[in-house]
Parts: sequence; structure tokens; C-alpha cells
Amino acid sequence: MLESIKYVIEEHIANYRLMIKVALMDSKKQTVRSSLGILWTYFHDILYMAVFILVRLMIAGNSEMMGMHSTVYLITGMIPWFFISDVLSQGSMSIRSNKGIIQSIRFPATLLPTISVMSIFVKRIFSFILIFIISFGFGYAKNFHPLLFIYYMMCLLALCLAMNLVFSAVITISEDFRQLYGSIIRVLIYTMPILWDFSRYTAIWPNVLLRINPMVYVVKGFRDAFVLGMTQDLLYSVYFWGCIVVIFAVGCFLQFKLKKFYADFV
Amino acid sequence: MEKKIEVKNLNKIFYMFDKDYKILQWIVTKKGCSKEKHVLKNISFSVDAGEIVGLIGVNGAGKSTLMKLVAGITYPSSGEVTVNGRVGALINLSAGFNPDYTGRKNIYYKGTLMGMSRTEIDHIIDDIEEFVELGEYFDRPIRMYSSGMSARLGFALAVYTEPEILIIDEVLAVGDKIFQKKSRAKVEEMFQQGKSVLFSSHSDDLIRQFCSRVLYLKDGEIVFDGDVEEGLKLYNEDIKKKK
Repeated sequence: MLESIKYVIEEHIANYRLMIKVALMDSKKQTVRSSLGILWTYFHDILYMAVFILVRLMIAGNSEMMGMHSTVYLITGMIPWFFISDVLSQGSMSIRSNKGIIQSIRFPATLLPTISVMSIFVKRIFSFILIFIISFGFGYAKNFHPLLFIYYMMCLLALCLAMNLVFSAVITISEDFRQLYGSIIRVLIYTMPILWDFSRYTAIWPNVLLRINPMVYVVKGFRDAFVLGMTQDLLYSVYFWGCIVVIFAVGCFLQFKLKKFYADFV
Repeated sequence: MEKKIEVKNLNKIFYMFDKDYKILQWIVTKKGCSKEKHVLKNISFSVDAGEIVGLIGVNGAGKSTLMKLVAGITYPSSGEVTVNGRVGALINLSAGFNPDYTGRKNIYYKGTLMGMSRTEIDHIIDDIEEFVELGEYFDRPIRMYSSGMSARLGFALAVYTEPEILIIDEVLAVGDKIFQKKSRAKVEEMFQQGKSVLFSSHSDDLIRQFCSRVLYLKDGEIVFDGDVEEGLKLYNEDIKKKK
């Protein structure tokens, strides 16, 4: 296990320039056929958010969720979610969809999951500006905590990088898992406090169950950074970083062991 | 003389699994593999600087696998492959391109993946454009290309990256006759520049024309390593026996 972690980290350090170059090129790869390019990514996001915000406004009017305007609540949850969701759907295909590269040139395959997270980050960086515009527009500028924002941004990236090492490996080798995974990520958004607020459940078990997913920590964190201030307890933070370490270690192990199979098997 | 390629006790085993997920079981417990296929058995050889070595054998003898191992595309199950210098692998020529990018952009894209800098690619891009003779198609997305056209692009990229070691897997039959002639001339030019070459072909004539030595691979083992005529004789006798 330690050997594989060391291998993956060393390979990343040795090739960091290459990764940045390729990630920058990849960030434009998907939208190269359209004339509006990257703007389509934002168009999808805005349309999706507009629907949920309008529905919420129609049902409940100018109401509050967890002590903030419902629009701000939805935006601060959905934008980090879009990032996670892109990593889950596109990032996880990073090895499968690059089989041409793996089979024709010498390229360290363990870099591919990281490159795809980086390129999704480059593509989506501007969507975070939307949170600023909307939350500041609703008068929450004084509530903004820059340090928390930076911290949770780090949490988001750490989670996505670690997760993608695991999922891209497993999806590459198992079609069954890919099917299962596809259906899980569709419903995942409803199990998290993105579109609804589960603070009203005070019983312990539902709360614990819902929080097992470390993504919840990140989503809640963005609300903390923009509106609420530090609300997450230390125990949950420790749990989150514990999860990251475990996921990362498993990811390194899988990538290290499976890299020998990719070219023969994909 | 400096050894450009050195292969020591190389083994390659393909593991086959009934169900995909059994790989996961296998990497943890080493169980669950339904069949092991030993494609390369204890291979050792070396290629000196400037030497052109032909690789002969029937389909399935392990030639392509051996070439991919030397090119660093796949990993050995055990043993060592040492390569001193930049490798230009003429394997799966049209793979690894992005269909939505133009030919030009794909050269930059794949070139970067191969570890070249932008300025290095700037230096060779005009030569490549001239060599591939795609005309205006060079600036069109390669999804519009025919298979021969994208293979030309791959060929040009591999030979213009100034490799010291060339690995050529059956690809001198790329494109139409005119391009074949051209690609053959380009490869000959590189042979004369003293590159080390590992070259597989089913054409006895090509092997005779270029190689100074042959390796005859049979069922994953090197059964002959030496003089071209002797190797080809052995190989052709084996084929006759099979018939």
C-alpha cells in the first residue's frame, strides 16, 4: 500500500508540468466543436439552477432555508455539486476514454485521472464567481469568510482528486460497476443537502446516515464560507479528512496495480 | 558499443478473467484468474547503436507484444527492459488523436503527450505538414479523415520527433502506394542516420533489404538470433511444415 502511494505521488511530482499543459488543452477538448465553446457549460448550469430556484420561489415564495434566502442556499449548494458531478461523470471516464493514448504512446496512465480533475477545474473556475455575484447581490457580502472559502475549495479538490483515482480505475475494468455507478450518481444529489435542507431532522440516525457521504461536508462548507461562518464540528472535519486519506490510499493502490492492465485490457 | 535496447529475462503473461470484476479480486488476493497465457517466455536480447534488427514470426508469436514492451506501452510481468534514448514507436498509428481537433492541433496535442515542448513542435510542424501531403485537410478536424490519412499523421509525428530508437510494427504499408514509397524512403533515411531499429515485417524482402540481424520469435520464445538469411530459412521451413 505505501509503495503504491509513494509511486503515485512521485509520478505526479515528476510530471507536474506535463499535467498542467495537458489539462489546459483538455479543458477545451469537449467544447471544440461548438462555436460558443465553454459558455455552454455555464449555460447548462444556469438553466438547471434557474429551474430549481423558480420552482422554489413558486412553492414557498421569498422564504429562508437554514437562515438564508432560498436562492442563495440553492446556489451555494449547486455550484460545488456541479463540479463534483462533472468529476463523477466525465472524470471517471478519464482512463477509458483515453485508451488510444494508453495503447499508442508511453504515457503514465496514473496521471490521467488527475489531469481530468484539473481540466474540469479550469473549465469551471468561473462558475464560482456566480456564487459571489448572487450571494453578494442578496446582501451577504459581510458574511463572506475568505479563509473558509479557500479551505473548502481545498477540501473540494482533495475529495475530487482522491475519488477520481478510485472511480476511474474501477470503471475502466468493470462494466457492471459502471452501470451501477451511473444510476447512483443520478440520485446522489437528492441524498445531499443541496436542494433541500436536512437540518430540520433532529433525530440522530438520519443525520448520521446522510453525513456519511463526505461530499456533504464540502457542500455544507461552501454555505459556511459564504453565509453561515464556521458551523461544522471538529469531529466531522476529522471524519472528512480520514475519508480522504482512505480514499486516496485505495485509489493509489488500484491505480498502481491496474496500470499494468490498462494497455492490455481497456 | 553502446546498447540502445537491452531486454533481460523478459516474461509477459496475459491474465484472463471470466468476469471483469474478478480483476479486483486478483490484484488483492492473486486468485480469480481463469486463464493465464504466457505470451513471452524468458526473452533476452540487445540492440546496439545503429543496428537494424528484424523481428519475424507468425501472427500471435508475440512480436507486437514485445514491441509494445520495448516502447514502454505495456508492462512486463517479470524481467527488465532498458531503453537508452527517445523511442519513436510506429505502433497503432492513428490511435490517441482527438477526432474533433484539426490535424495540426492533433500534432500539438499528441506531441505534448509524448513529452515535447511547444517550441520543439513548432520546429517540426512545417516539415510534418509537407510530408503528410494532406493539403487543406491538415487544418480540418480529423474525424473527416480517411483511416489512411490519420495513419499518415501518426507516422509523420513518430518519425519527425527525432527518435534515437525506432520501433516499427508492420506499418510500412500505410496509405496509398505513393505514400508507402515516401514513408519507406523516410524510414530508409533514418536507417542511414544510424538509428537503432527494431523492425517487424512479414515481408522477407524488406527484412533482407534493411536488417543486419533477425530475431525469430516462435510461441513467445526467441528460437533464433543471428544472420538474416539463416533466420529467414528457418522461419520459412517452419511455415512449410505447418502447411
